Amino acid sequence: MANLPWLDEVLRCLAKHHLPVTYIQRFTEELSDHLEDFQEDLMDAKSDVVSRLGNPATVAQAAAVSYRQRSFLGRHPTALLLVFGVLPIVWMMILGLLSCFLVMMAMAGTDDFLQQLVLRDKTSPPGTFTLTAIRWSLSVFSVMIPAALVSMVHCRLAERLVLGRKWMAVCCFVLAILAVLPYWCVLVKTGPQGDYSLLVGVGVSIPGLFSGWHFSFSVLQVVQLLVPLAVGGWFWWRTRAASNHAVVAAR
Amino acid sequence: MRPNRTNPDFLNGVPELLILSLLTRRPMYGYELVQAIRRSTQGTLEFGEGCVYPVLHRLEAEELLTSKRETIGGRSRVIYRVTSKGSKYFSGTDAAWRRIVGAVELVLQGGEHGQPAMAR
Repeated sequence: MANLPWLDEVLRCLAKHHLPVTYIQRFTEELSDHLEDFQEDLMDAKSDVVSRLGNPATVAQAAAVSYRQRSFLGRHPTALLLVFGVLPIVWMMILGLLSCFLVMMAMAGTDDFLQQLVLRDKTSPPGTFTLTAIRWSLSVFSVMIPAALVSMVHCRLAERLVLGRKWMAVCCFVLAILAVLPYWCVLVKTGPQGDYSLLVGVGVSIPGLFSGWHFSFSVLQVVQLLVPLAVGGWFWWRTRAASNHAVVAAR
Repeated sequence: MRPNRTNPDFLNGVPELLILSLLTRRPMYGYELVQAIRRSTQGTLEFGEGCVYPVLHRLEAEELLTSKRETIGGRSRVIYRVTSKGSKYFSGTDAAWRRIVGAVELVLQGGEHGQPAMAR
């Protein structure tokens, strides 16, 4: 094979752009053919590989730019901000509100579910475990699952279109900020009626500010924050692993 | 000092036009195409030869070209051909390019005001 050091350098640079393995293989095969032709047909004795074929980093950059331009988002960088900075917020809010509504409907529709579940009898206070279970259910279905889904879809999109890991990071950070905000409280009045109400809040809650409010800030909100970041971290690691695999496979 | 091999920014889209133009005449593989560009332009337009392949791949993704690995002269090579969509696209781009070149040429030759005046 012709001029391995130059080709190896191109391969390394291509891997940094996180291009798909199949594309890297194809590109390097063609460059290898080209180098063989070039070496067989040295018309200009002074020509060297870099001056004729280009700097490896420039060639890899051209390949990455050209590959990105295949998609609409790659051709319109300003749309990226909309898709990865704004759209996740919209998806998350729609999915979150819908899920929250469905969970509440499910609770309300099961023959006074809360009444039976929370207050085992109308005069005793609710069990802490039950309250925690309700808050976690709401958090999981209304925040964690939507955040995970939206971040996965957008990270996958960024991965497929070779848009770079920075857009994965943008999307996951935006979702993390959005996910940390909602908190869940069950306000219980242990009066003769034994009634209760569910409070859904947005913002940073301060535990113990109001007596009788059961906050879950310390655990739930932190977990909500971590879900999209974990998804982003997994995709980050995945693209890095894929790049390493691409170098090995193309060799 | 080494000569500057970078072509001006306004040549964006020119490699695509040249590639389509040459491939409409006959199918070629990458190295052959690069040599054809070099010969046709008498070395005026120089691209890093490695940068031609990304352009070819993009044109193929846009279905303006097709590629197929074939054996030519005992060597396996990827041959590029223009599709019917590519031919139509090239006709349109070629006409637009000639109009633009004509218009720019008019301006550079002095346009409606004759020779460019010197500022006093």
